[in-house]
Parts: sequence; C-alpha cells; structure tokens
Amino acid sequence: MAAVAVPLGDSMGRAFTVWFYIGVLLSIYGVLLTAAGAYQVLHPPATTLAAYHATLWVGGLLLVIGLGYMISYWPRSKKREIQHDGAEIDGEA
Amino acid sequence: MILALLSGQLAPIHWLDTTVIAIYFAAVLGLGFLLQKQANSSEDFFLAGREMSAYIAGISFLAANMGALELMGWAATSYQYGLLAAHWYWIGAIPAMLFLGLVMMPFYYISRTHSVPGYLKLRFGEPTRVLSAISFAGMTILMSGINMFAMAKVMQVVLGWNLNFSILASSITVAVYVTLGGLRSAILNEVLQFFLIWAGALVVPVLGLIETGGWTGLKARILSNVAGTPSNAGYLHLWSTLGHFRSNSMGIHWTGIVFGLGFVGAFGYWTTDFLVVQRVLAAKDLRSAQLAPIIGAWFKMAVPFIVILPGLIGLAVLPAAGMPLVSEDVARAGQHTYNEVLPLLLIRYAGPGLLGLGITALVAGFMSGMAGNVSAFSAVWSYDIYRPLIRPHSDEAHLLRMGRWSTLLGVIASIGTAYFAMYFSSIMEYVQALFSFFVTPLFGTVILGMLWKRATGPGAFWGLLAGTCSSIGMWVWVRAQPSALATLALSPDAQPIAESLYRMLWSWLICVGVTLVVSYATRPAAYESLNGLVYGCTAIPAERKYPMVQQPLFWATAAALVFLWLQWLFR
Repeated sequence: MAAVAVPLGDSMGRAFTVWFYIGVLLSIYGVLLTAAGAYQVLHPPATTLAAYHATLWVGGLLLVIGLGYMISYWPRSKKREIQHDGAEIDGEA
Repeated sequence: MILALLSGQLAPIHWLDTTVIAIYFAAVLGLGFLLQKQANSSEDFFLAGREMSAYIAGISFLAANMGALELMGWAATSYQYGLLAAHWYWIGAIPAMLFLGLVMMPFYYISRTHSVPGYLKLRFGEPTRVLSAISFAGMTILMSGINMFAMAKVMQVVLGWNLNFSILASSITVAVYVTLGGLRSAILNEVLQFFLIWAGALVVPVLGLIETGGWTGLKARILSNVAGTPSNAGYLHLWSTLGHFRSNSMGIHWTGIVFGLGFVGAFGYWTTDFLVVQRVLAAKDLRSAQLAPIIGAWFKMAVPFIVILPGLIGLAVLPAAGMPLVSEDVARAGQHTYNEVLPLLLIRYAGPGLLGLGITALVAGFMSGMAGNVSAFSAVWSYDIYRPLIRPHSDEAHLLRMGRWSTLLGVIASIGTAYFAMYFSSIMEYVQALFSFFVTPLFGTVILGMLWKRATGPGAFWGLLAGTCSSIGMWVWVRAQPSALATLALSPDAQPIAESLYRMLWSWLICVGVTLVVSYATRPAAYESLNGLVYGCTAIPAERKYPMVQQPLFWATAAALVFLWLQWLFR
C-alpha cells in the first residue's frame, strides 16, 4: 500500500498523483506571485495595507507548499508513508 | 479578445490577474484530459471506479458544496445578520456530517448502490426511487443554474465581465472536464479547486483582522456600525440572543436553529442530497467512506474563517469607506449589494496578481459546485430515470455514452435555468425553498428506511409525496397570504429565514407521520429482503483492526468536541 492517493497513470506505470499536480500548479502560482510581490515592494499598488506586501507573502507561501507537495509526491518517490491526522491514506499505487 | 471582454469596471484588471485566471482554466482542463482514458465503464464514470482515498473523497464531499452561492451568499448573509450566519456552517453541518460517517454510511456503502434514489429502489421499490430521482434531477438543475447566475452577476457588477461570457466560459469548462473524465475528473478537480479557494480567499480575513485591530477591534467597529439597528446584540453572538424571535437580527428562535436547521435541514442536505453523498460513495472501502465525511467536517468547521469572517470585516470597514451595502431589491445605480461583499474586499486588499488569485478562488468555488451538480445529475438521470423508465435493457457501453451526453444536457439545462433565475429578486430565498421542497422530506424517507424495519414501500412513497407537496403548499400559502408566516413559524415576530426553517421541520414531520401511518396499514417486507439495507438486519463487515487514531469514531468524537468548544466560545 502506498500513500499515493489516486494514480492518474501513464505509460511508464509510475504513480502520478493529483497531489503532485496540485504541487506543480501551486508552485507556478508561487513563482508568479513572488515575482509580482517583489515588484510591488518597489511600486506599491493602490490597495489598503499595501505596506504589508501581501502578494509577496502569499507568493512565498504558495511556493513553499507547492514545492513541498511536489517533492513529497514526486512520481516514483520513496516517501510514501505520509501520515495525515494519524490516518494513513492508502490508495492503490 | 479576452482582455477586451474583461474591461474592468471597479477593479483595474491587470494582465497578471488575467494570466493567473488563464493558468487556472488550463490546469482544470489539463486534468480532465489526463483522466479521460480512465473513464471506461459506467462504474468509472459515475463512481470514479470506487477507488478514492478518504482524504480525496472528504475534500471533494465538502468542495462540491462550496458553490458560488455558498462563498458569496454566506459572506453576504454574515454582513447582513452577523455571526448568526455561522450556524449554517457549524450546527447546520457538523452533527449531520458526523452522523453520516458513523451511522448511515455503512448502509449506503454495503448496499453497493449507485445513488440515493438507487438505495430507495433497493429498500422501497421502484415508485419511491422514481419520485425521488425526478425531484432530485429537477432541483439539481435549478440549483446549478442559480449558482451560475449568482456568480456571473457578481463578476459583471464588480469586475465588469460580460454576463454571457462569464456564464459560457465557466460552464463550457466544467462540461469539458466532467464529460471527459466523469466523476473522477469532477472529484480530483474539486480537490484542486479546494486548495485554490483557500489560497485565494485567505488574504481577506488576514488583512481584514490587521486593519480592524484583531477580533476585539473588529467587534468594536461592528457594534458602532450597527448601533442604530434594533436587536444589534445578535451580530456578535451565536446563541445568547436566540431566546426570542425579536431579540436577534434574523428574527429567529433557537428551536428553529436546532430542530429546523441543525436536525432536519442539515441532516437532509448532508446525508441524503446525492450531490454530496455521491463523493463519499466513490471511496475505496468502508473505512474511507466513513472517514470522508468526518474529514469533511474538520475542514467545514474552518470555512467560516474565509466566508463568515469576511462578511463581518465588510460590516466593520465598508460603511466607513463610504460603501454601505444594501439588499438587492432596494439597490440603486452605483450602490453595492450584500452579495458583493467578498469581491469588494478582495479588491480592497489584493494588488495585481493576488486579485487574480482571489477571482480564481471564486471561479473555482463556482466550478466545483457546478461540477458537483452536473455529475450527480448525470448519474441520477442515467441510473434512476433513463434506465428504469426509458430504456430498461441498456448495456454498459450505452450507459457510459448516456452519462457523457447527460452531463452535457445538465450543463445546457443549467444555462437555461441561469437565465430563468434572473427574474427572481431574492436568490437565497429560492434556494432555501428548493431545499425544503425536495431535500427535507427525502431525509424522512431515507432515515426511516435505514433505521426502521417496519417501514414499507407504499409508506415511503406516500410519505415522500406528502412531505414534498405540503412543503410546496406551505410556501404558496405564505406567498398568497403573508400573515400565514406567524402561524408557520409560531411567532408574529418571525422573519423569512425562520419561515424556511420551520417549513423544513413541518414537511419532515408530515413525511414521517404519513410514512408511519401508511406503513402500519400495509404489509411489512420480508426480513431477508432487508439484509444490507436496514439497521438491525445488517451485519456490518468487520474490518481489520486499526489503531485508535485511525478509527472514524475517534476523529468524529474529536470533531464533536471542537464543535462544542466553538459554540461555547462564540455563544
């Protein structure tokens, strides 16, 4: 039993999961928003509380979470026994 | 071309925002295409091959419910009525979800049914199944159209999007990925959308609390903004103002919240509405199916942070910023309505890029709700209406094709009802009305079927019919004669929200009463035929022994304790 939730399946038979897909998407958003946030530090947008650099923070957070998911659920990853709330997610590999 | 259609009205739409939204559309379509080759049988298409883990089923169980109305509508309700709106997330969901996981799920799962009407067929026979399938199909299409319209309207007013463009772009995307991959695609996209809803919406409560000076500052600002209204104490309390209809902003009594919402309304929705139950049926084994709604309950308890709290923040900051919100029926040109509170706050706090992510969150919420509706519709249509009534001997391949076509049909019919919904002024009222017509009587039928051996087929059929008809009857009665509200809701001070809660309660009682009387008057079903369907006639299969922290009961008890703590905290 692997921690891999649902195999999307490919010709190589590797376990490519929705969690990995989510990781990729969040990482793309993370890169985009971190760059936008860095630009907005120099050119603040006309929003309330712009001094808090929310775009940069959210961008960084998404990048960390996205990369975390990508690495944990990298196809053919060894780290399969992920525990969530103590309940093992054991889908078919 | 898209940029031209998105010409900003209130918010200047930056190219970065458009890019973020475009990436989202590409991601959901991409997932649909990846999953296309895995939808080869009707079991694949309608039940995602029954292989989902507890986490995926649980998140999707919750996300299917987070439509556009759920996000924007309840933020609007909390702007209008304050913290009382959180009842719809806590007592109006958590006990029911835990009950579904612990008590009802074994019967749904062991009977190997494809749908809730399918369970009624096994338990009560064809007439009850067909009645519930037809009312479910009709309600689902109306709901998904109303959701679509609510979404498109906000996009039009706040962001200047073209109404037709918003409706078409979002619904075609949903149609493509659900038609390609069936329920598996709907579910996995719902998980993706759930992450994006949180990522995009989180900025509002966090910056909002910073701006208002935390919870204490927020409460002080709200109290000064609502100082002129009667019964203003209700804005910041869950329970302490529910002693009388007059003493709170909603015009409601605690019996309506506890019995109408917490028992009948919530149990009806979360345990018998196939839109959410379908996701749990896709779980890979009984333990996952039981854990899924319990995991959903944990996430559900957190949702008020991105829905109810923004409504309260809007109430604290928007009037001072010269933007007091008003209801749909009195809004003049240039005024904003309650429904726009969440988009307005996003514009207030989110700069280019982040605003795109916030809009993506709203679109994702809309799409997950819409996909939930059409995938449930297509399963009920194919299994419970088309096969028994129209073409009894359709084979597997035919049913799979019918699943794909009926998904498209569901989307097209929803677009039709979206334009139909434009003629109604109060959207929330119609949603509550639809629930009370179709969902609450159904809960009476299903729960008696599961827990009471003596309930018979004719009893269930006439009970369900009587419950639905009486609910519609009560609704018409109050429309024709507004003073009837005082009779139905037991108080001359009751407001429309109280009406819908008491209507749910009465229609459920009528359904149960008629089922009891007719069942005792008819011949009981043979004991053997109830095996696997009814409590007391079913051996729940013993699973391998799990440690305590992996058992559904452990997590349900912990969730119940957190739920009670929240009630006490915000009493």
